Amino acid sequence: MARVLGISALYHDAAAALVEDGVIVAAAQEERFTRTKHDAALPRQALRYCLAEAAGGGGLDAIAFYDKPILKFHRILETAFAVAPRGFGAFARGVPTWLRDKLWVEPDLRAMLAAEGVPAGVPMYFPAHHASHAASAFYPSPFERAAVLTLDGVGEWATASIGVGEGNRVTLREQLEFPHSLGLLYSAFTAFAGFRVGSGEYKLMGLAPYGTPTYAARIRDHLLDLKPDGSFRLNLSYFGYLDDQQMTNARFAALFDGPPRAPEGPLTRRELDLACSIQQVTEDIVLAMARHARAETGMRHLCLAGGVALNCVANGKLLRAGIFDDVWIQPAAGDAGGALGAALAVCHEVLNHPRAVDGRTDSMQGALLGPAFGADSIRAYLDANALPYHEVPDAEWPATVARLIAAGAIVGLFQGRMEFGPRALGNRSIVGDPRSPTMQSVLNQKIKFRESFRPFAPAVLAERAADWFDLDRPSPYMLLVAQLGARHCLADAGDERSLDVVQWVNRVRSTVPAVTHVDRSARVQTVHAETNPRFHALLRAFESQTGCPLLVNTSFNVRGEPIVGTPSDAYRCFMCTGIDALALGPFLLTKAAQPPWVEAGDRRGTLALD
Amino acid sequence: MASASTRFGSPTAPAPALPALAPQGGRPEAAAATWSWRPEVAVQAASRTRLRFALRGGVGGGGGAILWQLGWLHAGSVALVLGVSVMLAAAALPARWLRRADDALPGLGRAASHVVAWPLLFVMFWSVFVPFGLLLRRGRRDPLCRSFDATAPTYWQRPTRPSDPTRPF
Repeated sequence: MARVLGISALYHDAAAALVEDGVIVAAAQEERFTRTKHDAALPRQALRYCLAEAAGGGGLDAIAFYDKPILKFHRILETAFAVAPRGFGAFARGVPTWLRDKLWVEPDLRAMLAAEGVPAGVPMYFPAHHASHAASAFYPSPFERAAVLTLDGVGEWATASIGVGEGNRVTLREQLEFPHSLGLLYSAFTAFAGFRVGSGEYKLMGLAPYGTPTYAARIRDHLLDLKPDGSFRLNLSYFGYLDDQQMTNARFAALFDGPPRAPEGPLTRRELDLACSIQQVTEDIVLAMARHARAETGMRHLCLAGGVALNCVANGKLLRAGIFDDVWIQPAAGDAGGALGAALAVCHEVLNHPRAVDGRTDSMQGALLGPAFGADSIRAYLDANALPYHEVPDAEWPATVARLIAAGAIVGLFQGRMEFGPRALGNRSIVGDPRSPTMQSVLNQKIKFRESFRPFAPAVLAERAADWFDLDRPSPYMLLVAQLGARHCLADAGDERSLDVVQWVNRVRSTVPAVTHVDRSARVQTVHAETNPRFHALLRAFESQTGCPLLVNTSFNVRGEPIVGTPSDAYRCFMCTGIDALALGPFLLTKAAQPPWVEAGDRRGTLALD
Repeated sequence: MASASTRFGSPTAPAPALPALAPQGGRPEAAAATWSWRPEVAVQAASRTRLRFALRGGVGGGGGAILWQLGWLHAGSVALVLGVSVMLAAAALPARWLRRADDALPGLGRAASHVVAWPLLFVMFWSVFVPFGLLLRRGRRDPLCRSFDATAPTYWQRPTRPSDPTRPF
């Protein structure tokens, strides 16, 4: 047996993954255990969980770390040479961290693994950052062979790469190198719009439909030199990330009509238009790169990974462009997925384990790869804390929960294995009725405590998706944006751009307003009985009661916190927010029946910015 | 992409029977290894924290006693007082205070190393990085390839850096 533990850490989204004979056994992000969002520390608890999932005991054959730390440090030093005499602040802040925490990964990891009982002799490997992303994209995909495109901020040096996956090998053929990075370009606009780099990119993407691309030409003309094949260089005189800790500088601000928006400041027309403009430029670059990848590799299929691959609007356009026959995107496309990719790369390319693929089904198991809590342990927790619940038999569970949702309740779902990656796909989710015109604002303000412009995603029965969305293929990982079908849209209310964003977003524009963005698009999750039978059954029951095969699906957390990982996390989130009922495995808890919670009340003042 | 057996886009397909609502894999024992809600776990963790602090205090106090014996009266008495104080704190303070102190220690260490490192880095930056950086610039070598090249048909490049997975570089 080839058993490989993959680890990503020390930048953001630390994670661990366990692969046995090429089969993904477990994968989890450290943040879910430590409750620190985007936790970058070495993933002690995630790897403890993964090792506990190892079937039949036995040891590890290899450990895989998702990048080459010394090569990364080389980039830091080269950058310092290149920008000197500027950049002392960045140098003085960065170098001690590197020397203390990031450079000596192997001894630190070995010490951590020794505490978990892993012998010192297990070999440790270091696939390159983009090789790990590429492996995470290709090996779990359903394709026997495919082109691979990886796009992120930066790895060691590479910021984008194109390669070919075939059998049990992935070969990277071309790359773009730091500081020219599509991920960093998008992050620069994220920071300029007042959002946090590394997590605010989703918000910028969500803002884009509110704007017009008035700045797109300025971005193309001043910020980059874009070649027809999608390769580009950035004009670094507008950016601060080489010699400062800021993403942009005064010249950038002058180009885009003033200083950056302050975090939590009011959103103006400028931010909306900037979001729309950078989104359009990003999509153009991704499409050009994809065309180049198709021409260079001759492959009919494409696999995508890297943080930029989480831009589901660009993904949807890439699919509709028809450059490739099909596209598969790693659901944990960011750095967390690097742990999985590193493990798969070592399993196949170092240990030479053959890859099994049927050409139809991916091997991510619905991305449900984390801990699953048994009914006995949940019952023990509820009983020990004297929390009122009633157990719902499996046969009645879907109809019971669906009835609550149809009556307007917002329900926390905690069941089965935890999702791997940034999306909650029905096992650690908050769900509600998408037909309700107030659901979006209630969810944003009373449950998630986040900005009102942010849209929610629909979960839809896979077999009904084509009836509702302009989507001709499954989207089980919520990574594709599609337009809502015309027959579900209401008549156009005319130009809404003069409205305030909150008024605009709350306009009813479809029969499912809670999941319809202002441009009538939606980030669709198709739910399949094969991968998530319980969530599928809930949707079926909701459809049979209401005629609507959709639910609002948002992650089970509040702003600034990771998605809940354990039943106790779920209970705390349930009690601290406006969630009406909690389906905790087979147990149903209603808010009204619960004893007072010490933290209950408005948590908005205590929430970290995300 | 999911399973091809999904009846995707065929609304007329017959509805399947509700599936059995069994747990979807993942061993509950593995999940339990990462969930410590039980009160006895908290008690054990608190005991470990107290023991850790008591040991630290004991080592510090013991070292102080040795220094005292060797005639280092000032250093010995400071270490002895600190050690005994830590031991008393381990016995008397709530465990969550001790954990907070535990969490704060690395931060203090980082702050101290920052203060020490800053002057060293300043000297290194100005004596090594600035002169060599300026020399590179005189030689028109830019490791970051920052300038545009209007004549280049592409900016894609072949990977040239090492890719041996056995090495961290």
